[in-house]
Amino acid sequence: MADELKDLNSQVALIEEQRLAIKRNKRDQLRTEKKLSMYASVTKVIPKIDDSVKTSGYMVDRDKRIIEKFEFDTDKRADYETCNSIWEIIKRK
Amino acid sequence: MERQISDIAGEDTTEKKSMASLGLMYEKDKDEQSRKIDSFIASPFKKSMDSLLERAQSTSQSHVELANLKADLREAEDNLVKVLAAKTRKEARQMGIRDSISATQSRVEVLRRTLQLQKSKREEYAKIVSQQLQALSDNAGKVTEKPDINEAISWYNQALGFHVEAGHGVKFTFTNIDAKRPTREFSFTVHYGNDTYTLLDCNPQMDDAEEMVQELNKTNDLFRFVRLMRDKFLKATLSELPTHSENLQQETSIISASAPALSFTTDTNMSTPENKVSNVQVNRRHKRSSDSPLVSPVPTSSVRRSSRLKFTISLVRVESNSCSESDS
Repeated sequence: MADELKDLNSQVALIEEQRLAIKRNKRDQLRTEKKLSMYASVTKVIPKIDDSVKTSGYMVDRDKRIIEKFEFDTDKRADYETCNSIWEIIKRK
Repeated sequence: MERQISDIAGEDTTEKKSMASLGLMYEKDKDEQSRKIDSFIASPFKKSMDSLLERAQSTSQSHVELANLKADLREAEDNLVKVLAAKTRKEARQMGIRDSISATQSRVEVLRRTLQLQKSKREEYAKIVSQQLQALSDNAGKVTEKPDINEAISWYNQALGFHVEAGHGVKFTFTNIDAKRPTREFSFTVHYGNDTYTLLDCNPQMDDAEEMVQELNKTNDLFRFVRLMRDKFLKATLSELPTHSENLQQETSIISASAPALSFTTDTNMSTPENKVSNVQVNRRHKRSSDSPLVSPVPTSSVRRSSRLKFTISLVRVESNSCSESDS
């Protein structure tokens, strides 16, 4: 009986640890989501991330409707230019 | 003298005779007395004497017996005391044993109850553990969106050179601002407290940063503020560059002509002193357009349902008095 209780106690402790870890993960996830929201709100851009060849995304308005799509070929030399081109689009919307 | 003596002897003879008769009489008396005495002795006096003697003897025997009895009595009394003491000890021991028995019985009862309690606790724990394990397995089964979110954030970091960090305030960092050193970081930190935005840090320092913060506190439009700050950083960097002639305009952005597929639309003449670029003139596009084959404004509904978008973003609605579309 004592062994069983000890075993159960250690299981309870393990579960509590996992619960706390899940809570931490959820909290971190929430923080990350808020961070992402900040990125999207500042830039008004939703990225298209499944295309590794091009840098592309969508300009959206406040109601998340797409105003425009943009697309740039991925090129290391053009990173600077691509970046500022997109910011220019952002500035004008 | 001899006469006298013979007178005396004569007298003596009579006296002797009388004496002899007296003697005989005495003898007789004596015998009689003796007989009397003997008879007296033989009488009950003797008996009583004998009995007295007997009694004396028996008395002395009794004395001896009494003494023995007394000794026996003392011994018996001593034994009694010892036995009583032993009895008292045994009684005390018995009481002690009785007490310990009752204490043990009540302890047994307590232990029995405790065991019962522990059993029910064990049942409860087992139930809770199985519930929690179930909940954990459910949680583990859920698909987390974290990898997609992080991927999206990376896109902003790499494609737009834009980093957001939360700490005491919110730190915004930009790269790809300085054309000579694209990795150079430009940053500022904003803190919001007591309904007021404050600029905690700005690197490099901007002269009109405070004015912009005041404007921010009026408009409450943090997002526009961030865009404006990037623009200020960019202008500050451009003003560090050696100036060229008429091609340098106030609002500039840089496009590489080497990019074969330019699929965005603006209506600005863009040029850069850095790159070999021909002016690109394009038309401003509104919300819906179907002219250019390169631009594909996707209908909103299909995008929302697009499987390519693996996450949803909720744009924070900022209550702003004058949140305008234009940043200039």
